[in-house]
Amino acid sequence: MRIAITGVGLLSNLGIGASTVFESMVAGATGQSGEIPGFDATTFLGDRGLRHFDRTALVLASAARLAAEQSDLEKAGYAPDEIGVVVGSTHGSIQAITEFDQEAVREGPNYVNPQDFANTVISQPASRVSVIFNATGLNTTIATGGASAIDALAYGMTMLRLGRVSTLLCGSALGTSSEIEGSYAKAGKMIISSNGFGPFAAGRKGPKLGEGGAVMVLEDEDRARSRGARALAVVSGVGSFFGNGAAGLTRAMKEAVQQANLTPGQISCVISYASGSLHGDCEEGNAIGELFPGVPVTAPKSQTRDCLEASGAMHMAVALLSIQSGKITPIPGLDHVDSAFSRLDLVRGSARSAAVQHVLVTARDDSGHNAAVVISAVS
Amino acid sequence: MNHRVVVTGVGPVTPIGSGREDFWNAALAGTDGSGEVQKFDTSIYRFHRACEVKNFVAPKLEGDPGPATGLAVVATELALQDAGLELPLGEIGLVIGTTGGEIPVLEHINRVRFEQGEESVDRFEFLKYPVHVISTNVARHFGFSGPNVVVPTACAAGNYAIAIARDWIQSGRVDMVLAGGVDPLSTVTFTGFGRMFAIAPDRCRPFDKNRKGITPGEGAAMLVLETLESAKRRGAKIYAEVAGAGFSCDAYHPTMPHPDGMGARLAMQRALRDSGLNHDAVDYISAHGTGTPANDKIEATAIREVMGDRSSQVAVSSIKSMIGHTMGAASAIEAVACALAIDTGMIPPTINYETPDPECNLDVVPNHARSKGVTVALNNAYAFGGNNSCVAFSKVA
Repeated sequence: MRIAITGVGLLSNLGIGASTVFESMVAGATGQSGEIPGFDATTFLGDRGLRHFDRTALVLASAARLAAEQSDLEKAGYAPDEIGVVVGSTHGSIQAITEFDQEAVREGPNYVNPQDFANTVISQPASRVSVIFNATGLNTTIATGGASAIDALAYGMTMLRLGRVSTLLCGSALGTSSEIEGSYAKAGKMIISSNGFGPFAAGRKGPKLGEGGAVMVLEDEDRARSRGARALAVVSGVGSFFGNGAAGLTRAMKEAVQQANLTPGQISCVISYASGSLHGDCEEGNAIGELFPGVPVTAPKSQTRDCLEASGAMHMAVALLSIQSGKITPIPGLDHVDSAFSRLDLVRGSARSAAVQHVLVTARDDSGHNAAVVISAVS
Repeated sequence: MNHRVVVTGVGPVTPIGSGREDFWNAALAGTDGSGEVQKFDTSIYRFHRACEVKNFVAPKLEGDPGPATGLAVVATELALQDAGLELPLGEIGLVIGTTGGEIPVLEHINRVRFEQGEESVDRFEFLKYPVHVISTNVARHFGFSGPNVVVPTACAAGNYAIAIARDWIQSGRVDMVLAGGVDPLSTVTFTGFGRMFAIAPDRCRPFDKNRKGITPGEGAAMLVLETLESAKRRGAKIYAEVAGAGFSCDAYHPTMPHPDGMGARLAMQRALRDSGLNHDAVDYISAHGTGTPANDKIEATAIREVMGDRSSQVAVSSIKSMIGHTMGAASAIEAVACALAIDTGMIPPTINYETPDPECNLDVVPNHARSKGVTVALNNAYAFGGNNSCVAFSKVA
């Protein structure tokens, strides 16, 4: 079974909607803040029933709505129990979780709003999407840190191939969160100041937190065709490997390329998870440089900032748009490349035009979770 | 390639006993694991009872991780021992289900913030919280280098973990996986269920007419799952086969189950279909059976619909009456109960059962364990967000 992507929804600090975000990226924009500008979830979800959604769930559900609309999912003829939701998330609704606990500590446990308790389970954003789309087939959240979105996709593909569901809303989101930003900054894993440098740059000091999410509609390519849906791209291979260092990511990338029946030389470009982290970028750069010499490499976090687990899903959306448009997004402001990455063909300056057939997307976590996916043109 | 997947080791860490023998003896004896909460002061709460793991000695671990890791490490150790496995094991998979993960870490941070100010919070403490660190910590401790995932699907997470492990093994991705679930006692959980008035003021009495809610619990269980060939090759004791799994989502409400039990029914039907079994093959159902008015009534309805004219002949029990609701660990511990019921021909009881409820008209194995051959057992688990799961276990002939 070839798995087609028939819809994609993307939100980031560069805007709302996949083409809006992608056009900004191609133009070399960098987000002025970490938040999605002018985000009003009621535009996508109506104004009823959203009161207890936390920000992550709102971003996720809005991305799902955009994806479903593009794929015309609600007129696709799938029964509710054929539709599943699979989400990659490690932090869940963390801002809501910590605020629920803080309120209990401050006011006493009998004064919290019980409606907010639902948000304390990591799987609640996924469940909210199921309610909106009446998707009764399956609802799963997968947590592997930064690699969550690609590991969730791999899980979702297994579910489609085993016939447990026929179509999936699959993705990840991260709502803006002072808990995440403050706590990671405190631990030296993130920076809050504006002076960032960014992925692969000499003198980089760490990533800045962004906000965003992406959801894709996945289905069997033949079934999509028979219902008259357009396959925007196909997922041709995924790989996942648990193990530290550049070697771990290399294993995941090799597995993805192999599963796609390709050789590394056939990859048109690599979308790297590099975030401006001192250590993480080295693992990314070393692994990619070794396996894909001469292949253009870009790093969208230079534009969208680091949306942690959501980045993997957002980068898959960027891959799809690169294939459709023949444009590889740039890494703006990369004036001084860290000499450790001199062998990478980094897309500096402005966007590049190319015949983009196969895009490899990486995602990793300091925990040792590594994942990679190849998104390919339908042809 | 479709390998058969069997259970060859169990590692329960529960409020009524840890390790296969202690746990099973206590379960068959109908032990009530509840008591006044020891881990925190409940004087400001309306409820005061929980099921805590007693005499637990947290293992000393590198990096001093949170309490979920400690429980999961001990459960893994017990499971490996039970399966007769010795380290190093190398490329072995690991899937851990959880509801809140290391949430006590976040609770501690918030407590320090409130009492002493942000500057007193240890700057690295937050890094121990994100949910995926549990499987990382366990894998590093034991040197497991295979596929590694945390599945945070709330109170059905143990079943999800077992099903993911089965998919990996069936497809040939890996021969052996440690799968299970874990949740330490959490004040967030205690607060939340308390505010929903979903905690029983005295005892947890699933399916009883006077049931008033759950007893919050804590614990972990890990199961060694491997291919039938690999189990036979190494002469391992086989408790049961993981015959199939079924999932669904109510798509109805953030906390309440679907009033018609639609999702609960669908999950059981799918688990049976996935196993290639008919409903009349089922001898035992380990119920989700939380003891809340809504869950038990809806689950009973769903069971009766799926089992049809055989519903009175199927034994249905909820060990949550003994161990409390251990959240993400619950369905992993209950999976252990299913495997041991098949292996020993004994069914653990639903304790604290006094007054039958016509709306839960089932044979709930009241108060006393029962000797009964079990060939097929279903393990039900449901969760917030309407996530429903059912895993089918069967005897290996």
